[in-house]
Amino acid sequence: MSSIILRATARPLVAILAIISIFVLLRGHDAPGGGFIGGLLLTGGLALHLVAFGSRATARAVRLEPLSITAGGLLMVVIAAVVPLVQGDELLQAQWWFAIPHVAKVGTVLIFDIGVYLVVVGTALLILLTLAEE
Amino acid sequence: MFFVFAVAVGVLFAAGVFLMLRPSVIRLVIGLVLMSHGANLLIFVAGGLRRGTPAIVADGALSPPAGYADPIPQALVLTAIVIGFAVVAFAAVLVKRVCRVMGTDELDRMREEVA
Amino acid sequence: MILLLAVAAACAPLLARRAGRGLGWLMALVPLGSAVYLGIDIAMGPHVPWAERWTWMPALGVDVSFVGDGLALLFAVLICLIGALITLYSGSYFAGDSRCGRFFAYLLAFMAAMLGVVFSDNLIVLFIFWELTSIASYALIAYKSRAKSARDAALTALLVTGAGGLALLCGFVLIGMAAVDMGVDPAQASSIAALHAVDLRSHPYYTAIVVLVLLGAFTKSAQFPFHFWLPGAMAAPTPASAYLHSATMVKAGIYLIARLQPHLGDTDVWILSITGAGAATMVIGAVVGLRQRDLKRLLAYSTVAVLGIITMLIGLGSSKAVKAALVLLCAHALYKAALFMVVGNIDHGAGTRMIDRLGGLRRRLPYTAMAALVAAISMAGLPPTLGFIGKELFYAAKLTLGPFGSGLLVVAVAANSALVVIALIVAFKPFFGPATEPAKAAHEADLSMLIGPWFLAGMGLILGLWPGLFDQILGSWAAASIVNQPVAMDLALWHGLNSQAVIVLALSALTIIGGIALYVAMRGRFRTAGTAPAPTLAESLYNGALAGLYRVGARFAAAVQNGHLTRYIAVVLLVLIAGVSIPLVGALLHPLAIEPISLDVTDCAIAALIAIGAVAAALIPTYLGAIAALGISGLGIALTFALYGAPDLALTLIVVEVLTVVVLALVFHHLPVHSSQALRSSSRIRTVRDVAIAVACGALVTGLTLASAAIHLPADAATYYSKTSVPQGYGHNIVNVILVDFRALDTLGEIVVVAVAGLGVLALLRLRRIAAARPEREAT
Repeated sequence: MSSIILRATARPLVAILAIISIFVLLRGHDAPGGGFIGGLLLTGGLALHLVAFGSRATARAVRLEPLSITAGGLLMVVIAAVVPLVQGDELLQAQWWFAIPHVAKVGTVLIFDIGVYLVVVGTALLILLTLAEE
Repeated sequence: MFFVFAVAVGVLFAAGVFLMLRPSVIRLVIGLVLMSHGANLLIFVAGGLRRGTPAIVADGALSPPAGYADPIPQALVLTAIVIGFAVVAFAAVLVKRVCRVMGTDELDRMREEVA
Repeated sequence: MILLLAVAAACAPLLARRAGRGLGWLMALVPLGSAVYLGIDIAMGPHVPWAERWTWMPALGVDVSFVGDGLALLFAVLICLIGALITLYSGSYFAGDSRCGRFFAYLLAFMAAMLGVVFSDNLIVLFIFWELTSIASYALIAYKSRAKSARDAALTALLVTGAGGLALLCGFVLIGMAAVDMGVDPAQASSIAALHAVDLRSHPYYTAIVVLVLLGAFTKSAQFPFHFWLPGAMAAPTPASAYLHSATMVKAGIYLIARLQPHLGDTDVWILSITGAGAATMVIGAVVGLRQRDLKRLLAYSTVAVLGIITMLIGLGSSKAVKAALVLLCAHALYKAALFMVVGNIDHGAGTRMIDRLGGLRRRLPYTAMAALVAAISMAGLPPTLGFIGKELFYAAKLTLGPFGSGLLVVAVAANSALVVIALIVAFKPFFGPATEPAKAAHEADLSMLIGPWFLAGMGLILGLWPGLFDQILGSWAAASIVNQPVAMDLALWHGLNSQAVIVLALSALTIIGGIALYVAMRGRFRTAGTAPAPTLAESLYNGALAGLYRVGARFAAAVQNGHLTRYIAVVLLVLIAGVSIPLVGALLHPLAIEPISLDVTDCAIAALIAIGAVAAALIPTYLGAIAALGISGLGIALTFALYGAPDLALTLIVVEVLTVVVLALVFHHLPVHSSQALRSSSRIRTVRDVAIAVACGALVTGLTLASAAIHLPADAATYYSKTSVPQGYGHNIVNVILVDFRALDTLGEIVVVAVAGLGVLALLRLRRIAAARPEREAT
């Protein structure tokens, strides 16, 4: 179905793209990047995997249902929205907890961005897998 | 510089409209993609074009360098791109389903089939 | 109280299932309680208006304010009292009808709205209640919703009264504007009470106000030339006809005229238009009424005639005329509601309402016959009833008008004779003479269907015998609120033997003799089969206008919405082009708008890439080629983003482009039709047309983009975000900070859209496959 070269290069490429996507997600607050781009990059890597090995293999590699990924993302976004309420602030008002130097600042904003990342990954993957199964 | 991009936006819309007026629903989806491209570019261009300076604050500084690009249209367009992708994917799948069921991609023939 | 009725209306359908037959008794308690409350209030208290006020829309000066003066209370008592009896009556009338809960709901809702109309002190609030009565009336007429005639009649009533309502609203708005012009505080401009301070008659809007307000009042009260909806409204169940279309709703127009009389009345325009319309209505109602065969339609036309008389009297505005109008109004409400209920009993018992098929019912329905006789005496204006007093006052008011009045008097005597005939037809013809076929099987109605007619007919008699009662309780007070000064009623059956009283008495005698003579002359014609009455001019105009509207609508829809999607898109785009291009050309001609064109090689190259990709995507016949061209165009846009300081966008767009190509390729790869046919098969003319529309759209958007350069929005938002991004958002990438912090709620909404689109894809493909799994597997 696909060339040997593609199959051979796909696996490391997917791994690299996954790492880059997480890197882009985490640094997004200070440099180009963020949840949307990170999520799309990971999906791009998975699309490559799908073209190389077929949808079954990709679905197996991901392990999780795409729909659950989307749901998890939405859940995180909602948590990021509600936590400030619990702490006595407005809805979605940013809360910062601590910073990991050179990696990210941890707080509701990061949770929100990760939620966005997951929603994008989940939805795009859902579309790709459903289409490929046809 | 403004002018050429205005023309580019116009061409994107013209091509999109032309495709939407074709009888084939598949063309319609391609037209949709072109239209959403055009809309994104329109928002971005209308926000003002400043070459080279992203709206990113350097370490230690409190505000971005002078002449930075307007971040608001960028934020708008960024989400628009992602939503546009999701919508196009949905439209494409819808069209595919319709073509499967009706056995044709031409709108007028579908009408006859239903009637 | 209005609230209480509204609540009761809401509960009615729920209770209907439980209560069954007892529902009528139960529901009647609410309006009865209201009536008793009002009665005690009036009997005990001094005659001082009460007022209540709640703030509603302070910015527009609209308060929910209610005022109860003599006029309002007179109407309110009628509404509640007759309402209670009708509700009681309906309980038996609808026995066994499973949907009757709805009827009660509409009826009580109508009652609440009607009380709102009479108590409102604010024109806007009054208008809202006014429209609510129209809507309730629509629902009641269309109650037998399976019958097309009922639906049509309901629609006619709604359209006519609704159009009148719109005119009324315009009139009210003009009143408000005129009042503000003349120095009324804008916050008070829609309050009726505040109008006392100014004299609207001298304002330039006055004529327009009168015309518009009267349009509203005439449509509601079925005045000529809008009278035609009322006989049609007889498609409603009989209790509704008795209540809405004789006793209460149609009196709303009269109420309105009476209510505004102190502010607008007493001018030539006012008097002439009202008396003119009233007189014409009276004649038409009487003449057309005599040709009817259906008892209900007969009563409907007599209602039209009486409404004309009352309107005419109110318009005259003298204290004598107003007195006559109020007495007639009460008398009419009492006897007409009673007669309608009688007709309902006949219909119920004998199964028909056609007069030529009825006769000799007096043995079968003795109690109904009794009520019918008493009510009919009042209707015919025979002593000793309230109807008689009303008619006497009517003639007396006419006599004081001089030659103009005498002319009217002749007409009035003729019209009243017709009413005598109608009274005879309703109360005499069905009950006496030889029993007809349907009459033999007839049965008497039960108690709750008799209380109403008895009570109302009896009231007419009692108030006729002791007219002072009416006078003391409410009559004078109500009349005073119309003419704005104290009025002594001096009602009596017998006015002694002065010259005027003798003339009036003689006229009454003439009326009755004329009526009986006419009845005898007409008797032979009942046997002949009734033909449907020819539609009047106004009715045919209405029908023609409605049909024309439908035709134009249908033709327009056929032209614009022919079922071809491309046609729809083309129409939308053409409208857009036409609408936007005119102001746009103006904006572009502005000298400042045009920026000096500076060409840069990189820009031109990128723009060319975008444009070529787009054109290629439009023209390449194969799908995969078109998709590839799409990618090229997207790449150009991503380059633009990268070049002009938007690395985030560039990155996102490149990945999205890749994914879009993958998705589209996956979708279109296996399609059954690999046709480029579509492109070729379309005709040349069509292609030319499409190209023209497309080019026009493109030019339009280019123009818009150029025009946007001329708009210099304040950069406050951008400056704010860039200043606060680091100190408050702790982020250096401002775009990202906007997305996930400053405007996070927007982003939340957007990703939900993305997720929903994904769910849509899933629903379209996977769920359907699960449903169709078995047959597909068998096929493969």
